[in-house]
Amino acid sequence: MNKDRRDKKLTGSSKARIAVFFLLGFSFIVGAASAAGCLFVYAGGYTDRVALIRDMMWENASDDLDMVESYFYDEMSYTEGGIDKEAFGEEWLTEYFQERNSSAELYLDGELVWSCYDGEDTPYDYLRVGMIPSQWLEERDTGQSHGVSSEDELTEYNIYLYVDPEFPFSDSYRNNADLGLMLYDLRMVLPVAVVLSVVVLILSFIFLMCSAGHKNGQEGISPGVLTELPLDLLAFVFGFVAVLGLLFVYSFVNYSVPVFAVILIFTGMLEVVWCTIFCMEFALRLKQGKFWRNTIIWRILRFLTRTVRGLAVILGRLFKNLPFAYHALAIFLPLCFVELAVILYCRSPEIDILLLFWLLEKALMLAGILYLTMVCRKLMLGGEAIAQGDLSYHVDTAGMPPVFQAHGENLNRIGQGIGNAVEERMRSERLKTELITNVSHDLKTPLTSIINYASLIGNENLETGKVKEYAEVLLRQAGRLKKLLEDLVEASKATTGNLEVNMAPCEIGVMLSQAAGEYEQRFGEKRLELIIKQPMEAVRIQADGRHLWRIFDNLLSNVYKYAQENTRVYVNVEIKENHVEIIFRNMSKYALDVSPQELEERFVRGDKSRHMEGNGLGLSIAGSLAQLQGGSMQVVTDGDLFKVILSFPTLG
Amino acid sequence: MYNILICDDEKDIVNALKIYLRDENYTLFEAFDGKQALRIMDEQDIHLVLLDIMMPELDGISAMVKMREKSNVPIILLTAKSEDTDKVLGLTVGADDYVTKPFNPIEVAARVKSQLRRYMQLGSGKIKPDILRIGGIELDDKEKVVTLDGEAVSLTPTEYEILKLLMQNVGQVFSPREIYSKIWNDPPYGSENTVAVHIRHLREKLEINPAEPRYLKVVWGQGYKCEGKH
Repeated sequence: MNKDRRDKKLTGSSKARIAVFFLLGFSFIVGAASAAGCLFVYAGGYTDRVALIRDMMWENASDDLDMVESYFYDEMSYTEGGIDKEAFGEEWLTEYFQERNSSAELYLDGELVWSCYDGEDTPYDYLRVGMIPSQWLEERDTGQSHGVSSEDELTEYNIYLYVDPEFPFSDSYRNNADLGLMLYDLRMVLPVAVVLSVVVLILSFIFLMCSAGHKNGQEGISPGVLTELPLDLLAFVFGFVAVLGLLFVYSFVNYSVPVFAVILIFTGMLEVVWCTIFCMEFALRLKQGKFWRNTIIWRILRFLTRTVRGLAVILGRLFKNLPFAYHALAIFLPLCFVELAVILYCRSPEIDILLLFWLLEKALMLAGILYLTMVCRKLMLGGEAIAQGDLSYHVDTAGMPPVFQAHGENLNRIGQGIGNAVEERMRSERLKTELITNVSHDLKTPLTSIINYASLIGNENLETGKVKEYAEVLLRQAGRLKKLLEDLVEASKATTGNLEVNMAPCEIGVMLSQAAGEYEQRFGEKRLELIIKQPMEAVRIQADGRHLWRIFDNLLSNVYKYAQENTRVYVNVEIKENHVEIIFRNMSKYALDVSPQELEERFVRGDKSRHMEGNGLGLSIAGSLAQLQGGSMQVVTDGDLFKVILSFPTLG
Repeated sequence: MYNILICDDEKDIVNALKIYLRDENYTLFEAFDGKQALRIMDEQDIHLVLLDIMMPELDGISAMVKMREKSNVPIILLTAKSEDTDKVLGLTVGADDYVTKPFNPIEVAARVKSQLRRYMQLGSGKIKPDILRIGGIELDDKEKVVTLDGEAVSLTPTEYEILKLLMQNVGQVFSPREIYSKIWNDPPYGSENTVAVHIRHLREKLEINPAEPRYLKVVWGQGYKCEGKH
């Protein structure tokens, strides 16, 4: 746990990251240098120091030998007329070797010609053997100019180079000898250094990859400076710079080995760091997910696919809107043209008569296809009409092929069947409403008597108080029955739409203030605080004011009946895109153990025990009335929070 | 004093109504169908009719049409039909008031009283100037008195002003905002609810059944208006 947190911190720290970058570069330099040393020591198979140092100095020795040789050659080739031995740059050469750890001797045909060697013993001696045309020597002796050599007779020359093992001067010999000595001393350590460096290199790389995108104090992956740039553009820039680096190294190929090696190693280090930065960026994008999205290629492809899809949709729509006959022609005619092209291509005299037949056949086919499309179109129109509710549509089946005729007849029968079913249903709904209305009328008359006589009993001056009490119960229950009957009629009418609706512009704000005024006293009784929140501007809807009031009345009377006393009741008016929502919210007095869908049903009440007044029709009526006026009602319960959302389309 | 005809095919209802109206010193006549009612109307000097609509022999609406040919006594319809269209039909054909079953007998008694007072006492039409009158409501702006069917009603100054505004512009709908700015002479900032409360109080004082007002109508979602015959 603790360790985890520390790891997180380390990967998130920018200081640690910079340090690891340095470690990366350093380990690369050490590794590359050690690898080069290893290669040199072990590939050369050196077992003793002298041979190694000797080979280390080979480059310098070769330079010096070149120097002597070139002066010798110059002497041989460019001097004219009798030239003595001393004349071939002898003084210059002697001077050249004076300040160096090396000295040289030149033998011509086994005879010492020139020397600056003091004869001291040395393990580091180098020899160069060469040939020159003997003629040149003769000409030199005779003082003639170079002519065309008569025959290929050659004279051998040897140049010896000796390096002082004491290295008194500080020059490249001494440097290389020191390097060689060091390499030899470190020959056991170098492989270990290589392995260690590689390990450190890999670990640093892994650490950097892990740390990519993490920042201390920020959760998750936070984008870096470069993250905005497209990945492929970034890859191109990084690659371009990397290649430039390689070209830079390449320009040093002709320089001496140590310079080249140093340049190579340092440039290599920079390249490694550079590429690691790119890899980090890539790792960050991998962690963010969908890294391909931020690339130019992806954008281009997306643009192309969208364009193609858009074109396809437009073409498809065009095709769909074309009459059916055109569809058939659009397929049939190109096929004909292809056939015609093939036939014309293979044309020969005996095919001509066939061509005539072909044309005839195609003409007949075209007529047939057009006829069939016409029939199909008729059927299609019929199907569409039935689907859109025009059940009285009749498909004219005259002149159709038998199979299509049967289908057309079926369509007609479906229309009729559905029409009959719908009519039957409407009739039964109407009958139901009528029944409820009539029954309720018939129930009202006896109820009137019950109410009248119950209140008469209540008014009698009887001695027993109990009779008065019983009469009150009768009155109260009769009152409930009356309300139930009225609601029942109302509910049945509202659900069947058997209600007159006079739509007029209604202002929600006015409605709410009127409703608030009506309920002010009753809410006061229960210490309910009504809080109305509505937008500043007037919100108008198209509704029947009386039905709308009935909805508000039912909802507010529910609030009055079922809201917990001493709480606040909220009515919010919220304007949405093209409709307005009126949201009633209150805390229920009873646990709402009924689902919102059930509450909207008829005769369902929030309290299952039914010890409250009310009959459970209020919400059902409100919902039906809202629908009747082009709106909707939704009941939401959340624990004890009871919420009703009325939604109506806004007016202008 | 006054002769009242009660007509309903349900005997129990007629009897109950008789009991309630007995106390008020009326002479009561009863009929159980439309034809009977018309006969009594011919024989007696009836001052008010309580008439049921759904009756055998001759229904209430037809009977009322016949009665109106000879008399303009107040007719209160009693019916189980509560549809708005039925009410409108009844009132246009000639009813003065309308009570739906099951009714509250005390409410019926109050309506009977109100109709009789208007018909017998105020019907002679000694119209004074400066008096606004709608139905049974009279507003005397000089005396600052409001009477309902001849009885004084005590109103607060705000209620009085609102009633005056509505009665001066019969049929015109005022939004709560308009009423507020006219009565309080203040721009309304969310205080329109008080208007609704005052109007409710007015209704409670001036209407027999405040839930179904005869004069002070609520136009839901728009405002309030005063309605009725002068």
